[in-house]
Amino acid sequence: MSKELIEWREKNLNKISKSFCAAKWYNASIHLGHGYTGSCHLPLPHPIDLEEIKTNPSAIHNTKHKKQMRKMMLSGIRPAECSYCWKIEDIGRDNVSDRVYKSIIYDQDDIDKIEEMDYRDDVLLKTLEISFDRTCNFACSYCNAGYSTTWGKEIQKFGPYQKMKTDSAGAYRSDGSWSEVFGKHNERNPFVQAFFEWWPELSTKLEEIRITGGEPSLSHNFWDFIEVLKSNPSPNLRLAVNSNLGMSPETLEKMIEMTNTISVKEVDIYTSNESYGAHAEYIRDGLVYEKWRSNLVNFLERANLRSLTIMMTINSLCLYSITEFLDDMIVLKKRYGANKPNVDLNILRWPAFMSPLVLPDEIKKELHAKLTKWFNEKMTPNLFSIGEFAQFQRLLDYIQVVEKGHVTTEDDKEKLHHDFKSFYVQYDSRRGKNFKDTFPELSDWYDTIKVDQSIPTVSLNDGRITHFESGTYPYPPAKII
Amino acid sequence: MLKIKEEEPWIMWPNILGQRFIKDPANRIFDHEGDFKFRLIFELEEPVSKKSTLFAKLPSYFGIDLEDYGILLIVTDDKGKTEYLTCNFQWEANKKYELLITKSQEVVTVFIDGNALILYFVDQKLASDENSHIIFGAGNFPKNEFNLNYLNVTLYELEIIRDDESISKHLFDDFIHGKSYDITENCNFIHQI
Repeated sequence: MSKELIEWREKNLNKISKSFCAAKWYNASIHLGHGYTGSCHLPLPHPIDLEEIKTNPSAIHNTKHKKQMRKMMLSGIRPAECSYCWKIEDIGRDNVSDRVYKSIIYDQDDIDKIEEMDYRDDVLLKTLEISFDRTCNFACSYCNAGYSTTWGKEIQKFGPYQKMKTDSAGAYRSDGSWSEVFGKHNERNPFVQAFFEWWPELSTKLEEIRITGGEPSLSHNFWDFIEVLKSNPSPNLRLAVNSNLGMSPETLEKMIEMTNTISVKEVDIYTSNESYGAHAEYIRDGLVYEKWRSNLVNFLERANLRSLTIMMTINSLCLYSITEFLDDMIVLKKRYGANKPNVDLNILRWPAFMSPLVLPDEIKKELHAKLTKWFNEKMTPNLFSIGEFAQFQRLLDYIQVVEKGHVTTEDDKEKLHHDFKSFYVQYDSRRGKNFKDTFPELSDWYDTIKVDQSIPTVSLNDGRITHFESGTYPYPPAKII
Repeated sequence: MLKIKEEEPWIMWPNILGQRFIKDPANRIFDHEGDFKFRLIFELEEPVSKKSTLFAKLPSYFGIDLEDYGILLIVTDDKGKTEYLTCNFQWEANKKYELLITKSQEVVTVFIDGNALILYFVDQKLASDENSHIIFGAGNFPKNEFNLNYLNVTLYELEIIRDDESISKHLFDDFIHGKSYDITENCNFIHQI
């Protein structure tokens, strides 16, 4: 199953270095509203230099920070910001980490070219994920006001989340207004201007642009960009859109019509979900499961799509109905084809207190057994790809083997449990939800956690990311390289 | 080979005899604004159990410490800011190691046996002094009585390359008046302090 991927990794990535990943060159996530970027969505994004983009619009991707990470990767040194992959690889068992999945999509010639480049060279992207602004009608529990205006409104109404101990809590203490300093519709945003300035050159090499948000279908800039694409056909470009599929019937029709009329090579739709029914509606506030599924079916039946993928953010709560959710997706796969929908499993990193690893060991064991049983009985090669198999296998290993979450500074489980309880108590109160009714299996454990009421009240903070990682991640001592 | 015993460090400081004695003395290699390589083959007599300095360039510090957990590079830039960069490594006694420190494309890289372990990005120039000197087996002069971190170590080979030119090479098998002879004939002697 993953033997081919391991061979590919050795032949194409590890021959350059054991820390090499082509995504650091050819892939970027760029948040134009904030002015932040990262290559691959797993590392925390870092700020784009406003001065640099005045003379070099490609610096919305080719930042000084990324160039340093590229040098590390060419030298065999593991950037700390890529710890998600290093933890997976250090588990052993020949696990395939995301650097393989994120690199295998590029031509071998393009990967080989990197070895010849100066690490300081500017590079044209092959795959780009970009968000114009944070306008969103959902306020998912693991998201925050920096990426959702609905989250921002909640924080403005109720104030910052209180009585929390871990660094992750910082994300829930900002209303996200820092990311709208260039106007609500980005009319004065220099990052958006740099993007449109770079676009004529970038579009010559770009193979895929994936637009995310917020919710893109609610963004003025998104529809402006669609007009640019309509008037400038890009026959080699794949357009992908991340949508929560919680849109109105009118917007649904507009989106489907767009897929049928736009002049690009092909269109992919990505949406997000990882649990079933009431669990999904709890985790992803704003989602109505039946509406989401109905819109999904509408896209599958009427839109002109190459594929439709469901991004699953694997958090502690979704594990209770992840198999029921996948059963539901199997129904669709059987009807519309194995890649409609695809599933893409990503293990949650932030906030750390929502990580699957926070759950008590006995609960993890129970869930691991349930997931393993489903894997053995339901995951069949005719419906799931090699990548989907490997990702699910990796999830099983991850729950069983990894003892720490992805945040070494937050490895005190007591603090994580504390914030788990403290967060959901406030989340319930603000959103009119009920944790114990929704997840009765966790009720006894939940009741044992006491929230420390002596923690001083905090005020609203600025909220921008200041703790992105720039150092190196050590190899395990037993085998240095 | 050169056996350096604890509390008996050696030093490369040829231009102490006169600032114009050597035009580009090898002891100023870490002050060089261009590219360089510093390659040292050494062997430890015992496993590393405490902080021990393999070499240190003074007075503006640039050096490698061996630690029980691994390796530490200490770099000072010309604004006086000091960076401490570490990497895990397991040292073994009675095994030869090749340390290679390169500066290229404004990056200082530390390799052990061909594996890159530490990168330092040179944003500001590296600190530079007229009277730089490199101490082997300690982090300071014994008379100063601080930051000594003595090391028992055997040196087998040292080569210093400035841009693409080898400006000093020691095989530590030729000694003149107690000083290790530089086979490039550039007179970058190394002697006991």
